[in-house]
Amino acid sequence: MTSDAASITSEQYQRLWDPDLEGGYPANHFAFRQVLNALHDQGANSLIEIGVGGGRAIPIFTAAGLDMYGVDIDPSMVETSALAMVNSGLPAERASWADIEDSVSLSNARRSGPYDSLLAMGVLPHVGHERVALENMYSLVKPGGSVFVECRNKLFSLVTFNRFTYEFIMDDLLGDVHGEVRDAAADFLKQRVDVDVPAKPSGHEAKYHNPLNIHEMFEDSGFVDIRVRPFHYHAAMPRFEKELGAAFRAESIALENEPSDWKGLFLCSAFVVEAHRPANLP
Amino acid sequence: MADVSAHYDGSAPTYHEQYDPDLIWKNDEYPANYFRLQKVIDILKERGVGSVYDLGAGEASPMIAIREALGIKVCGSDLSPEMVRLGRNNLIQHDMDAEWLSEVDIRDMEAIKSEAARVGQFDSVIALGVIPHVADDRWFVEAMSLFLKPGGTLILQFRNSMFSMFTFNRLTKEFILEELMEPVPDQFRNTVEADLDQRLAVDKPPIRRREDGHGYDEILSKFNNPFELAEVVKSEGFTDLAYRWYNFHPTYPMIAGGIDPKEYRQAQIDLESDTSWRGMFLCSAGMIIATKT
Repeated sequence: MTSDAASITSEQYQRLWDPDLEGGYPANHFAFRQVLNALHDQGANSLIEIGVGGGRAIPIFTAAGLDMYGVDIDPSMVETSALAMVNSGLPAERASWADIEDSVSLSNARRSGPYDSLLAMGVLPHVGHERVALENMYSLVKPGGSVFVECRNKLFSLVTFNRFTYEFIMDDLLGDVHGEVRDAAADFLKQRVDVDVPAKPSGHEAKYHNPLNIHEMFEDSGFVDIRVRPFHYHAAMPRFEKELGAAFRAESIALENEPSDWKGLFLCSAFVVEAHRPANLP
Repeated sequence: MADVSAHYDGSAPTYHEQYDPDLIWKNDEYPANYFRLQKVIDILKERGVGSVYDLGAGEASPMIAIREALGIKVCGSDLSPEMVRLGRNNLIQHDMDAEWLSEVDIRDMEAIKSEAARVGQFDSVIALGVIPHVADDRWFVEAMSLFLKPGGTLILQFRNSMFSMFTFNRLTKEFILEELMEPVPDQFRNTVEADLDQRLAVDKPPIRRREDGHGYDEILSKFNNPFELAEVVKSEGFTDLAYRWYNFHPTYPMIAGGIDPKEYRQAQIDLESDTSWRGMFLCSAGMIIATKT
């Protein structure tokens, strides 16, 4: 069952360029562009979204012909997304509660599966045990099926010149350098990057992942044919967003089409990992 | 632009020192090429290579080291007459045939094709420190392929432009503004440039000059973007690409002078065994390893 509504109206499309758009930069729109094309090429019919949240993806993928299911760890989000299911012509039960790190809680989703594909936006940065989450995602898709999992991009920190830059260089690049050499690097960096920006959150901080080695984590969970798809470009450092105003958004949106295959690794704050469950394995 | 051949003619008499294990701790300059050669020998050994062609063989020190380590056939060529003259003497002193080293300019397509026809194809072709001096990357990879059997191993060294993402100097500024931000309007680049000028040591690194006007930074000695160079290699019919990195920097080059030299060099050498992604940012040079289809 799918909706015959359009996934986006002309007015909604124009508003993508509006710097006052609710929710900020429409990053997920540009992720979904890539995911939808890939799903179309794969001939996918069914899709489950992990972390379905407010259900914003439901009309987009339903209108594209996907038979949509969703789970969320937050019961209030399940209620909201159930309404979105109904508005897209689907039963409310298509949205249910589950924790991607707990396979027992996924039984409801399993009964409706396995699915041709799985989408998880904003999930992996917040899970405690990534391996468990990825293995559960693997089990939800058919042999030959695909997953699209959003990650926050660690390499973006190489152009932000802030606390993330300091942490990436000192922890990831120079983590095993010690003594005077390490101290010299730390002192040097503190003078040249904004180590207090952004402020450290008081509670849990989202995880960032490295697109240059993220394939290892997916391979360990059984996936193959792994591809990194950067999105959420920045036409300049984020600190200049206010100063450059509407032009910042327009130029960033223009970059979402840049064809280099590598600039996005540094100019994008996020990427989607596309990975596949082998077709010939149980 | 000064002449590449003249640069290497001038370097030839002392060129062997960079491969001398006794000088690892004594040379002022970090012996990056010593570690590069050890990694090349390891790769050739892992792949069971039975013959090698060295495109840009210098005064034959790598040819001799590979021959002595693996006992395999090694031929090569160089564009510098002085390098070739010294190299042939070195080969003879190590019981190798002087004819295994020829004088050929990689930029001369007909000469390269003629050399390939003369020597035949090898299990591996290596080019260490050559592509920085060649304007046409695609031709260079094609030239390497001429010397390589199907299924053979290409080892292509390059100066790593991604290192500039770590160096916090003039090269960082140039990379961000001219490569990463190339598609955005000048207004954006001007804003970012003003910010970078406050953060980066844009007066470094110094230009390496030589009294005769043929210093390394006075000749064509370009960096390559590893992602873009990999695409060139793939497009020339190679698969199974991998990177190997060398010349690690455990801190910012511009502040290394203020650190105990022995501790700093030890930290550099310790990192050379790393085979992870980190080398893309900590190393000023790398190699693409690929298989000819």
